[in-house]
Amino acid sequence: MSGDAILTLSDVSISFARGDRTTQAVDRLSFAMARGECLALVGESGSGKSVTALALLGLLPKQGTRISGSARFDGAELLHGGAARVRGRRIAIVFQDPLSALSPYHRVGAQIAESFTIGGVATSDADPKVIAALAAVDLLSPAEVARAFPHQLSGGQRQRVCLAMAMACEPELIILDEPTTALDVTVQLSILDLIARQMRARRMSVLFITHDLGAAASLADRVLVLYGGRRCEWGTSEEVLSAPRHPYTAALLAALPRSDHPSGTPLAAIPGRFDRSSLSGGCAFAPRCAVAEPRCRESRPMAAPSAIRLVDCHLHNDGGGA
Amino acid sequence: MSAPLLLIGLAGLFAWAHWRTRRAGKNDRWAAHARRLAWVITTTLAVYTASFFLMRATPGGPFDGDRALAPEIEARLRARYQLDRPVWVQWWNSIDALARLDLGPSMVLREFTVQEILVQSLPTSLLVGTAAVAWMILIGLPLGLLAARRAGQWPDAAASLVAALGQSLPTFVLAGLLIPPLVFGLGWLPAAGLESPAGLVLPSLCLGLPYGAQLARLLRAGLINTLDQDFVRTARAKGLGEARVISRYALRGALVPAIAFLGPAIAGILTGSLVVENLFGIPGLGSHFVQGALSRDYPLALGLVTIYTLLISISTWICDLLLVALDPRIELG
Repeated sequence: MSGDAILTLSDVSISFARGDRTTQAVDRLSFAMARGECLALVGESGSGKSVTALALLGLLPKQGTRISGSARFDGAELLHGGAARVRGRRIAIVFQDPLSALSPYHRVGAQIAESFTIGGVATSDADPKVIAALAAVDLLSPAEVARAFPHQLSGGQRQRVCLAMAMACEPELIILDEPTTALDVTVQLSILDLIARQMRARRMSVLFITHDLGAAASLADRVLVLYGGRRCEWGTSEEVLSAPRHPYTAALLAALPRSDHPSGTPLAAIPGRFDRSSLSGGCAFAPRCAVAEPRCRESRPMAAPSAIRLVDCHLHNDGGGA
Repeated sequence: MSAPLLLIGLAGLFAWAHWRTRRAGKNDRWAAHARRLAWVITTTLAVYTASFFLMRATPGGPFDGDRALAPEIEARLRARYQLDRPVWVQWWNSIDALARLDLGPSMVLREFTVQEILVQSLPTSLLVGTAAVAWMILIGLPLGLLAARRAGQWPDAAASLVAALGQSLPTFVLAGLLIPPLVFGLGWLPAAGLESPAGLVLPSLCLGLPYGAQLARLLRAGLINTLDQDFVRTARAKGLGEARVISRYALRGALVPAIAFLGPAIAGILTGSLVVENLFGIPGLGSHFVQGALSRDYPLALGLVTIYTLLISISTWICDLLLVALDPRIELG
């Protein structure tokens, strides 16, 4: 997959100060996304996925948040106030919880119509466009849904509405922040299918944030694995998910419940739990890593930026891997 | 006999609301309004009755002046105002008169009926009260917005200080602080009277400021809560400007608790305040409220209680309608 990069992050760090305590949520994160590509940002809760998304759109609270580094969207800087010019116009986002993401006070149609107004289309002719936008996300009676209030819709319907709202302005990049986590499994599948079709039809670039490796495999061209706000591994989804090279990715994949194990087999788990206070100058995963060596706790592994597949691990980089 | 008719009508209203609910479903708005109206009348009657017997149980009477009246004159007065009849007969007769919207004669200001007193002073109170409501909103809204937008920073602290002062300063202290510079220093405003519109400024400000302060605190708390919610973040993500995000989305949620407070507040403002009226020489309702009770002017005190009850009930009703319009998840009950 070649082509120009639509989004390039270099050394992005985000920290929050509460009182005299500082939390490092994202730590020198770098990656690039090609135009038209779907990149999955994978990691457990607290790995900095959502914080990265909010920072890209300039939606983090200003007070107490420190952001450094650079994130360029189509050449223009997004961090430090630049996002306000593009959000809702060229970059859209769908949030995790479709119940709280929609305003309870306004009809669904009015909330979508607003996105058209921002896109430069006058509100007067927005109505048929609203219906069309709702029909495009497979809602069965779009005219009825447009008149409804969010509390009158089901979770799946609401998430479709959120998708319609995000795609209304024909964004070049859409960020999906765990779009199916709050939904039940059958609805999850149909929403993922909808996203895949819309992605191809509209040729949008998609930043897909998830902790669901299966969803990442089905949707993404490339996968970026995060741990403790740091990058672990980046590569095409086939490579990363079938032949993981970072011990954390390997452990994550091994922890997936498998249907071919006989029932009663204990689920595999990564020993220990993520502890932000144990983050040191070394590898973030070292305290829980089965193959960690003393140097893993001392110096932070960083893959050479030129590599086609990036694995931020001392052991891997020794072996002279790709 | 009007009281029986009133009671039959009231029962009919309840029955109709019940029938309508069964036919048109639980969310029928006409049934809700009918039930609400029936409860307003019931509440008013209940408050009237409770006040009636409380007043009669209080020692003293309307004819205890500075000078004792001759016994035969007092007996004639008591007979004229039917005070010689049994209390429950008096109560029934006054309810009967109330059903004809007749509040009776004043027993102290004997040349006037209670209606005449109301016609003289209610418009004044409503005028000052409306101006005070305007002050309340003019002060409460920007102060609450500013405090919430800059929560935890110095504008918030300053706004909260103003709100706390406005709420805790007694009206006469506030007036004492405002009158010297504005009236005697700069000479912008008259000290008393409502002869010119300028005379309205100070009394309505003194009346409205404490309520404005309370409104500011409610709005601040509500806004801080809604500004943090996901749908406000969605509105920002859509690319809306901050002004539109606040006016269209955040304020909507913050207004819900504020409006629940506004109903009783507006009723309290409109019926006037003894202190403000005395300070600025305004012939309003507030002084009658206190005088009527102190001089045991039974019809006047009860008439004012009735008006106050109706004002509270109706403004709460209107506020509930506003809430339903504001938040589609709320239903008229």
